[in-house]
This record gives sequence, C-alpha cells and structure tokens, in this order.
Amino acid sequence: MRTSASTSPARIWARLPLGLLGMLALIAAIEPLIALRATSWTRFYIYDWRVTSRAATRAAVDADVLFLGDSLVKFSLAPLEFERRTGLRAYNLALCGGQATSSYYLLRRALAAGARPRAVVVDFAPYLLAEGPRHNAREWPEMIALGEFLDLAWKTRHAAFCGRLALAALVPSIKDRDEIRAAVLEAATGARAQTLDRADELAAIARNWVVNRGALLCPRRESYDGSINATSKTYFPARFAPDPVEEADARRLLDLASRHNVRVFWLLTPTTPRFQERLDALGLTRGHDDWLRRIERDWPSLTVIDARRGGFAHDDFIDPLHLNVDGARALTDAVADLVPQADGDVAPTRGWLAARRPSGDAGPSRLEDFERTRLGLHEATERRAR
Amino acid sequence: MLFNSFHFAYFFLLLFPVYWALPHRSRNVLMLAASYYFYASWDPRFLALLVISTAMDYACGLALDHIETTSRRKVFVAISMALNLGMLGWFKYYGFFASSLQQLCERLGWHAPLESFELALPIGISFYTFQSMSYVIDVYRREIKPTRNFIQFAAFVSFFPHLVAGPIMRPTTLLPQIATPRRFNLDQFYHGVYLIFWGLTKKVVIADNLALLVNDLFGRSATINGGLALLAIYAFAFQIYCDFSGYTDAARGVAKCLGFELALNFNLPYFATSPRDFWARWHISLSTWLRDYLYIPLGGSRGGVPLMYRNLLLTMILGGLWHGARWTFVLWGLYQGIILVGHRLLEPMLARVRTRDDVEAFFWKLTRIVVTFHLVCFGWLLFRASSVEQIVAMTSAIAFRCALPTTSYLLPVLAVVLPLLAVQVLQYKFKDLDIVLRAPWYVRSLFYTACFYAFVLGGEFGGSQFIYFQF
Repeated sequence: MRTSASTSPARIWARLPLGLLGMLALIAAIEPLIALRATSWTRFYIYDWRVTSRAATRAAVDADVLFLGDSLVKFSLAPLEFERRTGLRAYNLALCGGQATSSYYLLRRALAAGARPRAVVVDFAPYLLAEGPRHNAREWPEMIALGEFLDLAWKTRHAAFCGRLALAALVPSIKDRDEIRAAVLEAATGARAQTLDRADELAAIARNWVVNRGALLCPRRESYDGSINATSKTYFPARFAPDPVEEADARRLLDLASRHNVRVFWLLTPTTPRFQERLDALGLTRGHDDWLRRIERDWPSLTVIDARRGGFAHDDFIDPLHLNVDGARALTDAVADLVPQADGDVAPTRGWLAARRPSGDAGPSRLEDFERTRLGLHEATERRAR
Repeated sequence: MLFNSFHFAYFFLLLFPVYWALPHRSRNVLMLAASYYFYASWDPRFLALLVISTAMDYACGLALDHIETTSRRKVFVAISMALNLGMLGWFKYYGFFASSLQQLCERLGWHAPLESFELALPIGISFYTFQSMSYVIDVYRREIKPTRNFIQFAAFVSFFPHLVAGPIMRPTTLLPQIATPRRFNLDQFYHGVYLIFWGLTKKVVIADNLALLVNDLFGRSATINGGLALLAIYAFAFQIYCDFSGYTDAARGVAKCLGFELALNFNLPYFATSPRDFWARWHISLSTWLRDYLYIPLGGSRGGVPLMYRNLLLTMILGGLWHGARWTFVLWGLYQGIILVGHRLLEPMLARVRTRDDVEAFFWKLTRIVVTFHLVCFGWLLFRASSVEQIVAMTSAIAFRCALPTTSYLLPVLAVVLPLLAVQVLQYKFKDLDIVLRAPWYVRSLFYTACFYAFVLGGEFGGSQFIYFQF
C-alpha cells in the first residue's frame, strides 16, 4: 500500500506542534522535582492539609474517637491525654483553617477506609462557617480527590475557583506558586536563613503531629497578654451568617455520622475572656447559638459541648483563639469527661452540656509541645553530628 | 471578561469547538452572539449603545449606496458622525469639557452652572465607534460596497477579540473575511495559540509586575529622587507596551484560532529610529486610521509645509484626546505633534550624516534608537502623569535630584525587561516578529517552558485590567 504525500509520516511529523509537545515533556519532567522539594518552601498550615488527609485513611482508621474541625481543635484536643482519661484511642484530624466541607470529606474518607469510630468531636468556628470553601483555595489542592473536586465544583459553582483548583491539583508549581516566589525572593534578598528556619520548623511541627496523633501542641507564650483586635471584620462581623455551602456540609457530616452510628459532639471551643465578651456584646454569640439550636432541632441526637465560658483564662492561650499545651490538656480533660467512656456510657449524653476547666493541679503533663519536639530534634541532630 | 481570566478561558473553550462544528452562516450568528455576550459581561447596559451604533451605521451604509446626490450622501455621513461622535463625546468627554469650561469661567469671574454627571465610560467605545465610522466613510468614498447582511456587519463591528482594545480593523480587511467561508487551518491555529500565550506572558509577567513599581513610584512622585523617577518612566514605557501589545497579540491569536487575520498593531516600536518611525510601529491601526480619516481629509501634506505641520499637530492633539479626557493626554498629543514636526525639520540635516563603515552605521543607528526612545519616554511621562504638577515634580527630580536607583528597585525591572529585549533584539535583527515560531523545535520548547514558568511563578494575577480598556 502506498502512502499519499499528505499523509506521509514525514509530513505528519512536520505538522505536529513539536515545540508545544517539547514544552509539555519538559514540564512533565520538572513538575515531579518541584513536588519533591515542596517541603523546602511550604508553610505548616498548608502542609497540614496534606498530612492530615493521608492520616484520615491510615493512622486514624483504628481510632475510637475522631477530632475534626479547624485549628481551634487542632491546637486544643490532645488524643494522648484523651486516651489517658477515657481509655479510648483518639486521633486529631482537625485542619488549620478547616471548614465544615473539609471535615465532612475527612470523615467520609476515614469511614471509607474502614474506620469505625464511636464518636466524633467536631468544631465549626463561626468565622470559618461564614466563609465559603473558597476561603481555603490554597489548601484544597493539598488534599482534594477527584470525587471531592467534582462535589466541591457542583456546590460552589464558581468557575474561577474550580479552574484554579484543578490547575493547582494537576501542576505542583501552580499550587506552590506563592511559596516558591517567597523562597526565591528570600534567596534574592539574602534572607535565606529564614527559609532554613522554616524547614526546621516544619520538621518539628510534623514530628509533633506524629507524637500527638495529629494534634499540634504549642508551648506557653508568656508574652501574650490577652489583648484582642477588636476591629477585626473577620472575627467580629456585623452579624453571624453562615455560608450556605458550609451549613449544608455541616448537616451532611451529621447525616453521615448518623448513618454510621457515630455520636457527634459539637464543640464550642473557648476563647480568651475579652474575645468572648466582644462576641457577646456584638450579639454574635446569640446569632450563632440560635442557628446551632435550629440544627440541634433537626439532629436530636447531637450533643453540644460548650466550653466558651469554661473558666479558661488568657494565660491558657497563645493568642485570642488558640490554647497552649496546658489549656489544651485542660480542655481535653473537660471534653473527655463528657463523651462515652471505654468501659461504658457516660453521664449526660444529649443536649447542650457545659464543659468547665478542671480545677486544681492536674500534675505534671507528659504531653510534648512543639518547643520540646524542636529541642528534641535539635539534640538528636547534634548527637548525630558528634 | 479579561483575556487573562478563567471566565474567558471557559468562554473560549466552549465557543471554539461549537464554532468550527457549525456551517458558515451559523458561525457568523454564533460569533455575533458570543461577541455580544463578551461585551455584556463587562456591563450589559452598554450593549444597547453598541447595537444602536451598529444599526445606524448599517442603515447609513445602505442609504449611501442608494443615493447618488452628493449633498444627500453627505447628510447620511453627517448622521453617522453625529451619532458616533455624539455618543463618544457624551460618555467620554462631556465631564471633561464641562469641568474645564467651568474652571475657565470661574477664572474669568463668570458664573456658569454646568451640570456634572457621573458617567461610566462604556468599555471599548473609542474603538468600535472609529471602526463603525470608517465603514460609513469608506462607503461614502465608494471604496467599498456596503454589506446587505446585517449579521455580517454586526459581527464586523462587535468581533469580540478586538472589540474593547483594538486593533481598529478596516472594513476593507475584516468584512470580506467575515463574508467568506472559513476553513480550519492547523498552522493558523498553532500560530494563534502561540500569540495568545506570548501576549498573556507579556501582560501578566512584564506589564503587571512593572505596574506595581510604576504605581508606587508615580504615587510618590513628589518625594522620589531622579534615578527612581527615571526608572518609573522607563518601567512605564515597557509596562504600557507589554500591556497593549500583549492584549493585541492575544486578540490576534484568538482571531486566528477562529480563522481571522487581524492587523499587526505593534512592530518593535522601541527600535524606532525617529518619531515618524515610532508612529509607523506603535498602535499602527490607530495611526493609520488617523492618517486616512483625519490627517488626509485635513489636507495632509497638500497646501504647503506650514499647513502640513498644522495638520500634523492637529491630528496628534486629537489622537491624544482620543486616549482620554484629560489635559495630560492633550499635552501628550501636542508633544507627539511637536516631535514629529521637529523631526521633519531636522530630516534634511540627519540625511546628510554619512557613515564610513558598518561599525559607524551601527552606532549611528543605535544613537537614533536611543534618542527616539528617550523622546518617546518623555511622552510617556506626560501620558502617565495624573496632573501637570506630577510632570513638573518628576522632571525636576530627574534634573536636580540625581541618584542611582537601588538594586531593590532596579532588579525587578531588569528581570522582566531584559528577557523581553533579548527576544526583541533577535526579532529586529532578523526582521521577523515570528522568529520564535521559526526556530528549531527544541529551542521553541525551551522558550515556551521558560515562558510557562515565568507565567506561573512570575506572573502577577491581581486581575488588573488592560490599560487601553479605559480608552
């Protein structure tokens, strides 16, 4: 059979966009290298999404209790302390900046991977409920799977957000663009030391997550005096108005848990007294609580653990919202007393329960905070060097 | 809907396959619908203006074809002019002239209570009115036959790739392309994709990064030193070039993908060896429009040298005013007129310069390029400045507060400008704007990859509009 001139291999070859194909090949070769180097420039609150989403299908599968939510839980509920108190194995799957949507996906993943937790302790910070999933546009590509992407695209119906998300999930350099730019800028301006510090910090934080089963425990911060930024529009908006997608996903999470016979404990985390006063004064607490009571009516089995007025003082915090290791231990103990115990049921099981900071000296803590992890790593490095 | 937005990407990805799947007539209908959607996505209220302008000029074109009497033909041209210039004047210039007149009256001690309106400027109005007007004038001059197909004419006026920032297409070149059935051409498609890619790289990587520095330095014009003032002007020269030529490249690329050829609007303008050469390379579609529809009707070079200079000055002043309703644009137009006249006066003297060898010829050419570039840059100061005070402040900083800019200012500018210049030197040397396309495939691959990473990692995605959208 003869080949006509127009379809001869040489002509076809000549008409191929070889420059473009070469570019795609080069990009395909470069991108895995960028992905491999990601920990050199990434930030811990971004890296958290990648590590935690993996943990949902691995380390957290055999947990009796899962902690879900945002950094308020990530920093505040210590699985080791919880286990000591209740005898139940717990794992902290909360994410920095985590929202109802991400909590729902993580729970779904854990259940699909074979996890059969008895209970879930979850928080939905009001200021994150008010933002849609686009709030975490940078973090989503670190964890999202195809099905979740399609679900998110359908829910948000935001073309630019979904386009950016798809590109970022496919191309690591697009995903890590801002961090790479910052690292290059640091290198160009001679601030390389900062980058190295960040790599050390990330290693220490990642280690702290492992030690604390997903929780990140922060050391005491003596310099924090309890002050707040009272003019912040993020924390103190004119009124509480949850994003429809977030509300829908909070309900989906409750539904999913209910279908798997998982008890849900909705945790209202403590903040510094001044922060809470400001929320109360602006009517934001009342607005949030009215909304939560409507949800509670639809889910009678839901238990709300309210620790907002649990007696936590400003020296339990590292900033207006996040507890330090002592505060975390106290809150974990308070929560542990209200959820099912290993050897049976727990006292009051439904409705709106108040969690109070345990009084008296709790004794020396065996919990490892981030500073201790860092020192441990530093000493180990020095030992190896010697 | 910006070319560098996801909205446009979805729009085009959806349009492209449907467009090529349809037969010729339906393609034009789809293109018209797509163009109206594109325009309405900026502000649907102004779509009516576009439709009115289109309908009126279509009717005027048909009327001109039927009427033989010159005086009656002139009436229809006048109607078209009045409508197009009336719309342009009302939306773009009313506020400017009203406030200028009011200020003048106040200085003379007269009370002139002129209404002031907060009018939003319909995007691209300066471009489509000029294009639509040129159709009526060409029909009046009997240079073209009017089209009887309204869809084709409406598609010509509203063709979305160049609707909001040009190039200003002539009916003689675009209308026949719309009327003729188009066939998909793979080479044209590749070329189009390349132009979109290169145009967006220029916009997002160079123009938008320089914009940050330019805005900062012009914002502090009263306090910066001469080195920074100079750097701000140089940076703006490249910002406006990359912004506008980037848009034009992308527009040409999109048009190519749909089977159209749009006019070249930029031909390495900063390699011009004289102001006249600059205007033959910068915004070519506007300068030729002004030449054919303003300069020549004013008399052109007929009627002696003084009249020619007057016509040049008038054309450039009106060209300046076309850019925007501000005295600094008028000043910029006047300045361009002056340097064009000045160059014409000096031309006999420059022509006498003889170079003995290639080295001398090279340096003489380089000198002319550098001098022209600096003349153009002073023009950009007038163009960019928000007030005459800012022009004075920047000029006096350059003259009296000399200092070298620090590396933190210099490096970002050089980092984006030097690679561009490297490409342009090759384009200039080989007299080939598509030199990249003709390079071996591995060179193209490296170039595209470099552009890709410059785009991804170096691009500024603040969503800033193209500068020429405001005109």
